[in-house]
Amino acid sequence: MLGYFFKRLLLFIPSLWILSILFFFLSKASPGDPALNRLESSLLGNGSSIENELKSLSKLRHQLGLDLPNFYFSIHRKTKSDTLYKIPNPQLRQQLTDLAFESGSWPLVNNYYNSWKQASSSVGLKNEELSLLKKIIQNNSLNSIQKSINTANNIQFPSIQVAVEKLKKNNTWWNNYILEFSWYGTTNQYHQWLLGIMKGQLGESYSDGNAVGDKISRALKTTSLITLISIFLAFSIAIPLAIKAAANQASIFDKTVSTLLYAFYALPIFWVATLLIIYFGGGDYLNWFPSYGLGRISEESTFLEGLQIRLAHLVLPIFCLTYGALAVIYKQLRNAMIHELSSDYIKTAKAKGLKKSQVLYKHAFKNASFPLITLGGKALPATVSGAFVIEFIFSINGMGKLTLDAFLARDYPVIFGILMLASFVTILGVWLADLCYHILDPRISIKSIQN
Amino acid sequence: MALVTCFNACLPEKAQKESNEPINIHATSDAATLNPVAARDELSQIICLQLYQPLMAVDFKTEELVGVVATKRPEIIEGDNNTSSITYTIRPEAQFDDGSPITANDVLFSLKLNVCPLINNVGGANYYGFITSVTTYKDDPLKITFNCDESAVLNEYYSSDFAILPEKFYDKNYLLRQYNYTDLLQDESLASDSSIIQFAQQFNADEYAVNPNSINGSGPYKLKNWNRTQNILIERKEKWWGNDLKGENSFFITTAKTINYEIINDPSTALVALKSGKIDFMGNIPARDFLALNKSKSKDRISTASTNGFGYQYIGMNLNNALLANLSVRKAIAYAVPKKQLVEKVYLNQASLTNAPLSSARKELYNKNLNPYSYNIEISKKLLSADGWKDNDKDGVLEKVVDGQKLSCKLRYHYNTGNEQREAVGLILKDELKKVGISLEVIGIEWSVYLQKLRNGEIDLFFSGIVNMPIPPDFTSYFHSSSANGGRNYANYQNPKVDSLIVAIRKTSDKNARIKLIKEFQQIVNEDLPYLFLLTPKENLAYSNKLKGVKIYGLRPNFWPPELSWK
Repeated sequence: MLGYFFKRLLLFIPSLWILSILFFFLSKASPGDPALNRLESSLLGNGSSIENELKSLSKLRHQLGLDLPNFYFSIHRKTKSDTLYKIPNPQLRQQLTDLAFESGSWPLVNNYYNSWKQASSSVGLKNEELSLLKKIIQNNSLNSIQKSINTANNIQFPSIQVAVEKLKKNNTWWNNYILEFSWYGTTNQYHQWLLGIMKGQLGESYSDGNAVGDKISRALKTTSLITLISIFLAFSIAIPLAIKAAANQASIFDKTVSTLLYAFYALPIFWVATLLIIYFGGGDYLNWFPSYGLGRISEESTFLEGLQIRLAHLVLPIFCLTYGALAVIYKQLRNAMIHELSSDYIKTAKAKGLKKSQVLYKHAFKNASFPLITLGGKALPATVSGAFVIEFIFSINGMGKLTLDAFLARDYPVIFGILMLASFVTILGVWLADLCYHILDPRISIKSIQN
Repeated sequence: MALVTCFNACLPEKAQKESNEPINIHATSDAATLNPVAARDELSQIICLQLYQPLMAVDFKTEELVGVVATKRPEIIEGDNNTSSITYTIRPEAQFDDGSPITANDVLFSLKLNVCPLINNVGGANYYGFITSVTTYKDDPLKITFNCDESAVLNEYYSSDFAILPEKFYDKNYLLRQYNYTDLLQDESLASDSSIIQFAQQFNADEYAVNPNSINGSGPYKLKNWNRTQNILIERKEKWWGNDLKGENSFFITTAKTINYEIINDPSTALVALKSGKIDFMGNIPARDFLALNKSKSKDRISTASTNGFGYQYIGMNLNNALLANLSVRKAIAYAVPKKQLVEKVYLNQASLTNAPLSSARKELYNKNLNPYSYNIEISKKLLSADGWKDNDKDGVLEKVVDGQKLSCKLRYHYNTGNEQREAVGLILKDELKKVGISLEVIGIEWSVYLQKLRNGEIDLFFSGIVNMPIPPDFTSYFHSSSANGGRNYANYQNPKVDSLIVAIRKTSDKNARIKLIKEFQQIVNEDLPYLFLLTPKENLAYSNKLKGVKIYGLRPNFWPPELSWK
């Protein structure tokens, strides 16, 4: 039986590998360019020309490894070139793609682009010639290109005209519906990342160049501290309440606690957090708790002082994380307990003369705790994912904030690192939960799980 | 928990601050690095300005370029073919912490860092490429000349703003000495040179970005402690070469002993921290919170201040769109924008109007004769009907037949989600344009997607803004035709007359002649209307009453921390 669990442990690696490919594709498919984000966030650039900016953009892309193909191979429309990333100007890339789609031939469009490049780089161009060239390349359809060429009566670019004629005559529209397969070998972004993972390096963040591993471990320490305490508190408070409520079903206690906890569950976290800070964090009202952060512990303070500072800062965020979870745990356990307490074996136990506490805890609770194991299994990934809202409002830099910031900045190395960590912990959580079910009730065998 | 509460509540608030208590300044997000060559974000840059020193910088009080490591403004000589050379003289008393003097070698080394391949530099050849070569003098180690490929007014500003680092400390083996500046700038093959690879790996390391012992600038402050994502603490150096020059300009003031930048992401939380005394200075306060602050109970502990900023905000119109390419349509949109209402409702009167790509507070440069396009729906309607737009199908949207095709007055306005001001402007615009017969769709998209679409010219109408400095303006990036279609000229505005004006403004060194050109530029852009310039937001700040020596400036961050002290 335990061999089954061991086999499942081995399945971790293929699962994680398939997930990594999925994450990679989903990230790359989403719009947004991390290099452009970084360029925009730079405060410089008031006087720089577009050629220089695009050169910086290319340099940045090369530095971040974004100029490699995404994966080992790609399947693309015959008319959509897979080497488009070599053209730095994003508008131009789109225009050439549109042209290729219209004419049905990428090689001819490439030929047109090359003849344009040649014409632009010839020496001794007059101003009118330069502006005509600029005008021509801004078009994304053959009609408009021809119109632009026709506006200048006395200026001729024979090579461009020839290329445009060839494009017009070509009508291999079916190329748009033929798929082509291109192989890239191991020089691709996914492979570089995978190699890094196997060496134990998660890479460097795109937004500030810090090691991804450092960023994640810093954030993880903070988040796991808060979520673990919060989970422990939530279970410790909700379990006794649920057991007592189930034992005295429909009593005043049961009704009051249920209503109260459901009311708490309904309150939105961001509202409660902000209210707590305003009313208890100092400023205009009470100054009972610190309003942000986790507290700074200097080297000179004793362990107790450090503990006091840390605890003081943790009270409000942990309260916000815990109050909503109480209702969920309470409800699951209470319903399960009520179900158990109404079964025959409980009646038998009572008839045999067992004490009430023995009945409740040794028998009913043990059998009713299955939903708790499920919740516990789900709680494990929660220690890694954090809660963005709490972290932002209380200025506690944890996994939630790191994840969202990375997504917004398209910081792929950090995103992949976090996703892989979260996947691993989720798979681990499910595995542990299944193991606990089996330990708790050995009647649960492979056969019943597979059924 | 009860014990904790009691303990905390019982801590008395200190009445008098000790002189070496840190002054806590609010920061919204952590600095990425304190390596000045890689520093990109605002916090990194302002801290680097206190830890390191450039040749020259813009003084907060006078808003003029002043000498920091350099003695005074440089000598500029125009050469043939529109080139120029800029010669700086380094202060003889300038030294690094170990007592070694700052020489031209250090300046050259620092400039090389900014263009060297493989080094994480922010400016790069993009920014410093106008300096084609550097001349140093064997007989005068305090003199250095930058040879520029263009004679532009801003060369002085851009050639003097990089931090000066000690070559001996950062390049112990003098690896970069074997390379000429010009080669580093232009030769891309150097990226595969083993010395460059070795040096870049060493220089880009975290060590020089984070470790106080490896941050070696000539500035008055040193890094004491950096708890990442929490706070950055800097301390005044006791023995500093500039102490004798005290008060010469902003960069020789060291009144504050310890400055702490406290990182609090959420502005509401930061305000509570300000009111409870956990932070002592907060800038960039959102308008609504700023007005509430003036009415709050903590008013007796906190002072507020407001100042005109530099920069402007505008509604951009993509001239590649068939409708917006038509000047009458653009003018009609301009007359339909209720500018005063925008300032009142969206900015809560915390902004000043402007009709040009500059703040109207820049009295010397601002052209007062510009058309303000004051809100007038009737003029808007008349312009459109005079241009042939009619609503024949009575659906509330105007149409016109252009080149055989029917064009409908339908436009889209994009904003980045999360930016309430841009969203509000879009919704107000939608209502007003409906009265005129233009249908506007207001769409919120995520920031990265917004940036991409803006660059690709896929957005019709947008609201954007620029923050700049009190230096001579250069309109190339945003108005020159070469920056259209893929650059920052998001309106894709192309006017040859304006192009030549922009180039002339860059080159004219005579101040009065330049001002005349700038006013002419404003006039033409005002008539062409690729952008409808609206307003300059006010900069709102608040600080503890226990602080002394607070002076508010227009130049960001609108105050200078080294000037502060406790009462």
